[in-house]
Amino acid sequence: MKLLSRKKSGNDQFAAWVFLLPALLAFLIFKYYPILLGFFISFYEINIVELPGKFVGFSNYSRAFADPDFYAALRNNVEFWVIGLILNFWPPIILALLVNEVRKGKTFFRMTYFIPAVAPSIAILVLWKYIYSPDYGLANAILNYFHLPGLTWLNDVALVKWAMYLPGLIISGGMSMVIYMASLNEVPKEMYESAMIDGAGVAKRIWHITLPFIMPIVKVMFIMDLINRFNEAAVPLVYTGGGPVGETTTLILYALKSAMNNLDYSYAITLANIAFVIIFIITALQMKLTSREK
Amino acid sequence: MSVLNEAEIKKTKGRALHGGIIALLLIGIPFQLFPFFWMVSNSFKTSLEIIQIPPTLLPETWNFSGVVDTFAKYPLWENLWNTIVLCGGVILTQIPISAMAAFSLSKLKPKFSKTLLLFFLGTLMISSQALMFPTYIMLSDLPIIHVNLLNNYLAYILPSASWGYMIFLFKGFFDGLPNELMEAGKIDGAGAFRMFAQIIVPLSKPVFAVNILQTFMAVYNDFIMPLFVFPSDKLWTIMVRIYTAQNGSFATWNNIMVMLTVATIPILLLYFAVQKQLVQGISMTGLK
Repeated sequence: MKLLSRKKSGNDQFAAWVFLLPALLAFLIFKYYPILLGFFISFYEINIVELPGKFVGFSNYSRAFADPDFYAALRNNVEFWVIGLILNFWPPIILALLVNEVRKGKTFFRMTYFIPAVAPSIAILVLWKYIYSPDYGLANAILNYFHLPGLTWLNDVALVKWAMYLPGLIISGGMSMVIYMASLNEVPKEMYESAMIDGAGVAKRIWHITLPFIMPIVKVMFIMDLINRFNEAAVPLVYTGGGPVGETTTLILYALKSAMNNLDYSYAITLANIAFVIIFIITALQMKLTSREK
Repeated sequence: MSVLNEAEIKKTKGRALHGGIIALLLIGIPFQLFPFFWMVSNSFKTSLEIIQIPPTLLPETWNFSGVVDTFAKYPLWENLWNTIVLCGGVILTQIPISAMAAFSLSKLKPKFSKTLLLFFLGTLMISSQALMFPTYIMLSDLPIIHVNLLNNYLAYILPSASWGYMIFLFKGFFDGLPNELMEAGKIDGAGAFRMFAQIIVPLSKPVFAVNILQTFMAVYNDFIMPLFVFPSDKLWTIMVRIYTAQNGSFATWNNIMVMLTVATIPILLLYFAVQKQLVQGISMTGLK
């Protein structure tokens, strides 16, 4: 073995760098350069005709921290996250547990429940927008059928976030389900068997064996969910464009609107940078907490 | 493994539980499929029937005028073509770039391999939405060569070519391939290029299939970035078209339903064609 794993020749090193070169260039130009540019521009009052514009120091940041709309957007992100946890986070876990018990036709159920995950998300969002329409929508037609008064759904300040995430409760995340199922599949048979010898029923086995076993994946998914919620923009953009009265304007959506409607790129970039820092801190904290447990 | 074991499931209680689970899952299926059924059904309603109270499940008469009208009002073929160009362009740049880099890091192991891996994967920390604004400014006036790439396919394709997640997935798979393959190749006198093309790539078909599909779906579904970098509607993808159409007042709801159907059906067909590989691939490469 020693002979075979002899020191790598210079030739090999050269080839290694040739293979890396396209990726290095692509990442340097289209990832690292924009990251630096974004950091740089947040200290400027940008002028798109004559870049970079005027240096303004921290004033974009102090503007954000004095902007009530910024805090409202941040609060919306947090509310979306909490509502997402209540409505969307756990159904794929339950679904994976159920499908995992199926003996015949497991593939059929897994395939069928995965279908919504491949549908273009914007198509589904637009369809639900139609379903939520206050006058001719299906949602109110169903309420009326049960002699309940119709709701204004996406126009209702108290209801709008719940309405946006409600579809995820009924049509749950096929992608997450498949990931949980892969983990469930690896719970060793012996663990269940020895628990049964101790007289553990189905519920006890799920609680003491299954859930602890898949917990590492659940934690990763929890972090990913958190990151996604702090990057949320597409869902409220399609449903309401951020309304009613800014109730669903998230940080990134606020940045998007500053850039697209007001051409205020420096402020948009500043907001995006703040969102990045928040996500970074949360992720780092979480990683530290989980690594300590191990 | 399943929680219920073989012996349990033969007893009355176990059988009832299993039956209950199957029943519950069967009840859930119509909800999963309803959106697709309804968008197709709605595509064949007239512009009046689609805003009728209460809504009808199936069209009273199957009416093709909405479909014809939508294709006349909107350049949907052009939008679909643009979607294919972008998907193809990103796949053709991103997949080779990522596979080559991952191969180098996994099997050739140059100096600073660990740092390089961090260099690639670190970019995953920053969200694509946050990067969109500086990327836009950069594309409007590329440094050094001073070219404006906005309203050019490349404005979408080039920034998408670098996706750390792809390098992560490829490297994970290549790491699992035995190093003896490389040694054997070396004894045969094969250089790194021949080893990559003739040994590694043929053995890695599953991971290539899954990654190409994931990239395809990510590009197909994206609408914020294309909307941003293509201010003129000439290069709009089908998703950008849907977003802008439903946002404006020009389109009737049956027009929009036709667009949704047009955008959804191809990807559903693709899914049925490759679903086995896709689902296995996600379990294989996913978060393990």
